[in-house]
Amino acid sequence: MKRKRLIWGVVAVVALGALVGYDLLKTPGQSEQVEIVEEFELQPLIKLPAIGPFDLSVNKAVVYLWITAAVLIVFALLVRRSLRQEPPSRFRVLMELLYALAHDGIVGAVMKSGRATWFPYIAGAFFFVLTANLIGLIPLPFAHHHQLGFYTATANLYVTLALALCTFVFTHFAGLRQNRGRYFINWAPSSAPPVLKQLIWVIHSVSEVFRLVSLAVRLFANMLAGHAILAVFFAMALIFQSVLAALVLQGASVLIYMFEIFVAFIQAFIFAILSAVYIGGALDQEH
Amino acid sequence: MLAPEPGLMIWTLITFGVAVLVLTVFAFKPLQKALDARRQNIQDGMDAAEAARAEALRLLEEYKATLAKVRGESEEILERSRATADHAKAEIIAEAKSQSERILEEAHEQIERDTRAALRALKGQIAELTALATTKVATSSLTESDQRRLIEEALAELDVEKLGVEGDG
Amino acid sequence: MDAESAKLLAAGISMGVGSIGPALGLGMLISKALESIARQPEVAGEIRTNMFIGIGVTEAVALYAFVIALILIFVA
Repeated sequence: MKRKRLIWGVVAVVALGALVGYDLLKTPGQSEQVEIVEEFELQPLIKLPAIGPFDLSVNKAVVYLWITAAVLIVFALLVRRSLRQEPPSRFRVLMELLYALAHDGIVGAVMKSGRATWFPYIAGAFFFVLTANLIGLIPLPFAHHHQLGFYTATANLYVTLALALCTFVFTHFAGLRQNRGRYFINWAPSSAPPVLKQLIWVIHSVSEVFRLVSLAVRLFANMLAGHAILAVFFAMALIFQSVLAALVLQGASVLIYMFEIFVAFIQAFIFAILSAVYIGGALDQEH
Repeated sequence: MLAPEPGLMIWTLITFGVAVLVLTVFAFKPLQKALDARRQNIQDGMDAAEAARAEALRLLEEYKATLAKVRGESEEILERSRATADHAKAEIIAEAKSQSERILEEAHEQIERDTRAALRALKGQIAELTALATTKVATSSLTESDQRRLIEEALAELDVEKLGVEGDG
Repeated sequence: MDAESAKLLAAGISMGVGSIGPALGLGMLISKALESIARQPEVAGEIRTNMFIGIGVTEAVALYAFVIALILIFVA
């Protein structure tokens, strides 16, 4: 039974890859020249007026964000509906498991105080990033010329930067609300000698900015690299123009795809748990 | 690819905010409530089981105590009846003993009385017989007064007590 | 060597050299975490959580190199 499922999964992924490859191939004038980078460039799909520096045109990333939000809303409604069912359905048990992971595995494991206050944000970030990452592994027709293609909103630096900014802002907001004026003073240990204390304070301030950048870049680079590698494997068969190479590369791409599912999960987990660590650290400062 | 896109950041914040809001309202809060309710249910069940167990233990203790009391009581009753029986037995034995002693004494007294009476009768008869014999032997040679004197002497010599003892033995 | 090929070469070198440190670090991190789990299976969950935090922080170093490579290719 299990082996059968696994075989079907492998067949489905291979078929999917072949479909994407064929899709790329049939497009006129592009059959031999595959531009992987183009997959990650954004062209506006719907032109909207810019407000100041903010160009609100709808592009591929925005569509993926919408899809992510829509999927989350559908799941939220399904969860609410499933709660009326007794005994619990399989779906509900799975959702409870995921909820328990966010509640006990991320927030409960890392934060000491303010768990109830910050749980919605951290769990929301976890599920948002997880859903966005996983949707990126489903081929959707938003590539160039409406081909099927892999893309994910989290493979764009400015999407992850916006998410990381939320964590950054909430961290300092939580710290200031909890510790008032002492928050910034507590960045340096009070036991340190004066000059060293100021040095530590400066280092800490810089590290706060680097936390923001690393949080954004980690997620972005992971998803981008994963998708780039997947695209390379799918496209390489076209570049080599060989059936044997296509078979080998398709087989390898199945493994990469499985690894990408794992990475999608791990990156969402790390993003959420680091957000929890930062916010928890701001709440319970060491003096 | 790395060109700044501030508009995309705005879109991200909007969709992310909406998603978190919807998740919190429709998924997290009801789920937490359901999980809390289930935990409460389980806790209640466990509490009830614990209470039932405590109650059962209490009843068991009570039964044990009652049983011990009953056993003690029955022991006491047995002891008491045994004491009563012993007492009665001793009484009966003592009574029987005293009664037998009394009977024995009475018998002794009776024997003594009879012996005495028999001796008295014997004494009289001996005197008579002696008088008779003496009369027959010495009618001619003896005066009335001599006779009387002789009889008296003979009687005096006759150890009545000794005779009595011998007769008793 | 023209500027374009120098960029590509620099990008390749930055990715390759930048991966060495994080790779060693990740290896050490995970091997130590597994050792700890083997020694104390009762706190496996806690160790795993902290291991993932460590992986996230260590891996970021390689990703900085990746971003530098991207900047070299597409922006510089």
